[in-house]
Amino acid sequence: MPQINLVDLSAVEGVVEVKDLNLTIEDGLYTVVLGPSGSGKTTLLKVIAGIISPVKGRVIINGVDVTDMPPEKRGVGFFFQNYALFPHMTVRDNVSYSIRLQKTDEDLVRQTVDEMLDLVGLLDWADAFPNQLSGGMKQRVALARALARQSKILLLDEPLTALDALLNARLRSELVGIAKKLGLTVVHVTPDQEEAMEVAENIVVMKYGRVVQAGKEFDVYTKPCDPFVAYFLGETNFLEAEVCGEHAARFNGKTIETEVRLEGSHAVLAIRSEKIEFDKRGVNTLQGRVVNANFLGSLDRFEVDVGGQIVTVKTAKHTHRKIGDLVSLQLPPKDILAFKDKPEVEM
Amino acid sequence: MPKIQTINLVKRFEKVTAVNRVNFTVGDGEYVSIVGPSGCGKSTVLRMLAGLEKPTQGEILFDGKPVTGLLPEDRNIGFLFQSYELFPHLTVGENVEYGLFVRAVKKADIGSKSSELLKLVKLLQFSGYYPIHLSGGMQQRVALARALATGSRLLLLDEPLSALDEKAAVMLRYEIQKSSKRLGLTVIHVSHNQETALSSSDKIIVMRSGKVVQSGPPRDVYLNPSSPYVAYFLGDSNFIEATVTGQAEAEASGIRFRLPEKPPSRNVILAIRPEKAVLNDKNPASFNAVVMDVNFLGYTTEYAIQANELKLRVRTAKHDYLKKGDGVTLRLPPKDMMVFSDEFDLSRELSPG
Amino acid sequence: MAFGFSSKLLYGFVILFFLFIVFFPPVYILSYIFGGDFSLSSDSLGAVVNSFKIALTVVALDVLFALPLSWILARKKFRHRLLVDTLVDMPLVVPTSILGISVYMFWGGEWAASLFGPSVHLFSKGYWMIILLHVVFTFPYLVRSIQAGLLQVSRIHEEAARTLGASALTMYRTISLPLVKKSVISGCILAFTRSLSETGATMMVAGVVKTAPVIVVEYKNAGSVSDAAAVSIVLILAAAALLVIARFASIKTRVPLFHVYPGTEKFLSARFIGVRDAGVFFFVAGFILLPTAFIVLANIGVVNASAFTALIHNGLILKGVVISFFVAAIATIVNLVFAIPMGVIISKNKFRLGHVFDTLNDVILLVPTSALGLSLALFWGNFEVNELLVLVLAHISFSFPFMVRPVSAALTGVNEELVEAARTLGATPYKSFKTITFPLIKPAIIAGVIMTFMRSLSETGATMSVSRNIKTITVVLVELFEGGQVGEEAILACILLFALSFIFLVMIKRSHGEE
Repeated sequence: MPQINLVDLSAVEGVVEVKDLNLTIEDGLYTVVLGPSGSGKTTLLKVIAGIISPVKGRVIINGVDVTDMPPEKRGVGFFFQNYALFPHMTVRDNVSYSIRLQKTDEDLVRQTVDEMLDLVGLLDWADAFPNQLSGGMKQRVALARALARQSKILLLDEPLTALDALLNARLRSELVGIAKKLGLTVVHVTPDQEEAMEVAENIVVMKYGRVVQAGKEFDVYTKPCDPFVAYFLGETNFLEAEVCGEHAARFNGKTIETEVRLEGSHAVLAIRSEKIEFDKRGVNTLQGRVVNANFLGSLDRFEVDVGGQIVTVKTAKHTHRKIGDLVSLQLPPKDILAFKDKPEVEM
Repeated sequence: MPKIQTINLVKRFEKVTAVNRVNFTVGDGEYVSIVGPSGCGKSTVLRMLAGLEKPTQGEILFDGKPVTGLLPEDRNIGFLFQSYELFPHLTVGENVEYGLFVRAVKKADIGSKSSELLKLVKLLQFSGYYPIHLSGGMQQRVALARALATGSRLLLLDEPLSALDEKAAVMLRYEIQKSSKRLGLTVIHVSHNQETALSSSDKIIVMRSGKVVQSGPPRDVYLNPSSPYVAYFLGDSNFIEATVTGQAEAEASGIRFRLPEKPPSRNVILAIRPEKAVLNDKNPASFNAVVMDVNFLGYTTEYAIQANELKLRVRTAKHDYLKKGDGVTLRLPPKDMMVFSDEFDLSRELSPG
Repeated sequence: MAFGFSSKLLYGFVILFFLFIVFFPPVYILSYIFGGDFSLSSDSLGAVVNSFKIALTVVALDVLFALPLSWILARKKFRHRLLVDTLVDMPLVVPTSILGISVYMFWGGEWAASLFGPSVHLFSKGYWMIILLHVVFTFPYLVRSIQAGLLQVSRIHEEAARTLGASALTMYRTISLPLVKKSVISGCILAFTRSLSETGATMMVAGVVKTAPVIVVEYKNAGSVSDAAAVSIVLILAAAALLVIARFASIKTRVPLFHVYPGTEKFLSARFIGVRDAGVFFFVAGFILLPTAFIVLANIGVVNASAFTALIHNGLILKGVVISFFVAAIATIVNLVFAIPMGVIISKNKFRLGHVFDTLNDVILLVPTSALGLSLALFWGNFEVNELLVLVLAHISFSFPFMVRPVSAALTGVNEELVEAARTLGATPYKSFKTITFPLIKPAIIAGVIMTFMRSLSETGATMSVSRNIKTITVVLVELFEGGQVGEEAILACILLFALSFIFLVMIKRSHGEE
């Protein structure tokens, strides 16, 4: 099964740049490349496919250096964000395009294509044209077309972004299911961290053309190595504190105990909003006033003003707190991370 | 008197009925979300409120007075579009001033109003820039300032967050909510994202195929959905088709479930949200099951559990706690169980659109 | 990404063809500035001034009515929209000499006399009739240009303006128009240069008024080559200067928003719509459509067996038709072959020369065809080349942009991702061009072929400048007209050509509809 290596890769597409990138995509796994728009994740995907030539560096697929190989020889399936369905061809002709290029026998082509269409549930629409299809259907045709090539590598450029939320949620598990069934190596690009968390086995976080962190989904989420990763995945609070011991820092007049070691005189303590508890006894309790309360369905989210700084808390336990209430928040030491700086964020 | 009222609103496009007798009211200062999948008619309803589409039938009342003949420019509304649509040939400042400019407001007054609003959305320093230099989130904030500059008390939002990156979208949704509360505006926000609707609104209206399916405060609609569709659309639900076996009891796949009240029919559709199911608590009502898959989602973990033929998704904040293949016990607390009669066809309720 | 026709040799050949056959001829005549006696007589200057005055007036009138009409066609849905859309394009395909006869018959017409009394002409030959004629065949350029621009302006911009309180008129002038500024200007440039360039039909209706292209032909036929060259050069330089100013204006200037008078503009938006629509309709019908079709409408009786027989036996007309079609066919085929790679160069900005060639193509458009014909005749005259060959070269030269424009526009319009998708699915650059790009630009190629053919068919000035002896059908018509000898066969020939144009136009619209 294939494995993709990117070595010292630099590439440019319009205003987006990727610089000195080193990355390995593990074979047989579902890898998500996550980052805000402009971070270079689509550029990365296009370089792997050969649509863009890198300015520097090498692309190695399955041990073979394909850097100078044109896209039609690389044999990877590519899914375009806007589907790029051929408007002058039917669904069947779109899906069978790659097979027909090799001029194999008619019956075999038809059979393979019908299988593919059945897999995505569009057999009845085989003779329709793209402009007669809804967004969700076009997405599935594009997927079937990419899979018809029967490559073991599937590159997905924001496959779910254009779909409405309901369809998006539904199709996540379908994508993962198909990948597992066919034993594919998938690279799935998205700016949506919730989508990433649901489908990924491995996650690569990108920003400004560089890989900030890459690894198993669980590790990247629970042990972010950069404040940006902590910020971008899930929701995290950043508290600037003065270090006063190896495992203690002062924030807002209180001493916060941490399990991680602290260095230097100044630290940014980070804790995810779902880790903070209301009214629990123990160390690290802060007092504050609720300034905003939002019902999110399976969770409630609160914004608490703690000495001028807003701390967000998410809890699944039902609570009757409302705006204006005074509350106490507990920060479990084992869930506190430490960084040197806050993440640079631009809106 | 409600600020906005629709009476049997209908819109037909050639052969398609996009909006099919929609009735609702919006109170003064209320934040109402209209939510549903794409194609359900929600945008069409909003555009009819704005005067950008003419209703085929039915009436729209603003403050008790019908507005059906009124052109968009005379309805005094603020409108936000999904694709921000700032005028590319005007600067940020000129964009914000446009509404006042077309009303021939005096130059001096225009300047101060637009500064005030740009300060509100924290973009005052970008006043001289052209839209093309701003990010999506920033452009949408300028669009918000532009819509508010005319001083209208009614804000109509047509999926304003859909085109934004998730982080920008979440930030903007809270900003809109806070600004509108601060200014005492009445807001109607159309969205396909149920979390957005739940988080910001005083009232939520769920639509499907041109009709209003349920409306009410978010918490109420979420905890007491009137149909399996609503239970599925808002948040997530597990569905079990079961047969009634007693006063407040039903059975499916060899497992007995206690119901919260007398069931409405012989066969029922049970629904329970993944976060409400309880794992491994020592309660006689729990039944045995096996973990089929574990999916870490960050703030929670989702376990695919199988008990006999039943496949259920369960969510809990405890991670790294169960592995694939582990045996567990599962309990579905009756107070969190939603029960639907067999008048509903489950496959139709769950089909897209 | 490397794309299609990786053969550099092919592109090199195409570029050479372009420079030598298409670009060099118009430029050659400029070299006459440095030779011999370059002087401009007062007659010549007068003719140039006339041409410019006429062109400017024509464009102003065109813009006035094209603005509301293109809005109606771009935004409003009404029952016969496609029909109106097609009719408005008619004057573009019908050869201008035929338009000349038709316009003369309509405006100078005896029918008016029969209605209102024997001494009534609506207009006589001269300055204003030239303007009325030029408006007919330049108006469609503006309508098409602005309409295309408006279709690109997002409706949401306009809806946003409405929700912010702008009435329809305010919205149109503060939002939509500034956004189509480029389209308005490019439409004006096209119309302006077309008016400046037209010779044959102008000769028919000019009476004693001289325009520059007409005087070039006269000088050449009288043997005063240097006078002809002088006028040509002045025309080219002045038009080029105007082009540069216009281009500069479209980039640098901002359309000022002026002040808004909400009450008035609202009133105009609501009450005025009926008046506006009626006014536009009246203008289009009365000044464009009727004058164009009049030759057919007024002479429908000519379509009878005896006229046909006479036509077939009229050697002069038949010969003219054969020559016209021959020249047009060759020009079209040659241009088709070279326009596709040139279109690729422009749309894909190959070798970074895309913008250069785009501009050069536009430059060719603004060279008056009589000057172009003259230039070629002078150049090739040095080598005693067969006049027919020179004529063909001239036609290839001025009609090339008519083929390149639609092709390069269509190529730009093909979504790059479609080609990328084909490549990832295993298609080589050649295969992806053949299976993806080419089928998608076919409608544009059809349109380009038809426009090029009809443009060549229509041309008089260049033909007259190249040769006194070779007469295309349009030249024949002009000469017959001037001699007062337009008989039944000639009218029948006009009607048949008119019908051919209409069929071609429908073919273009049809193939666009299939997209």
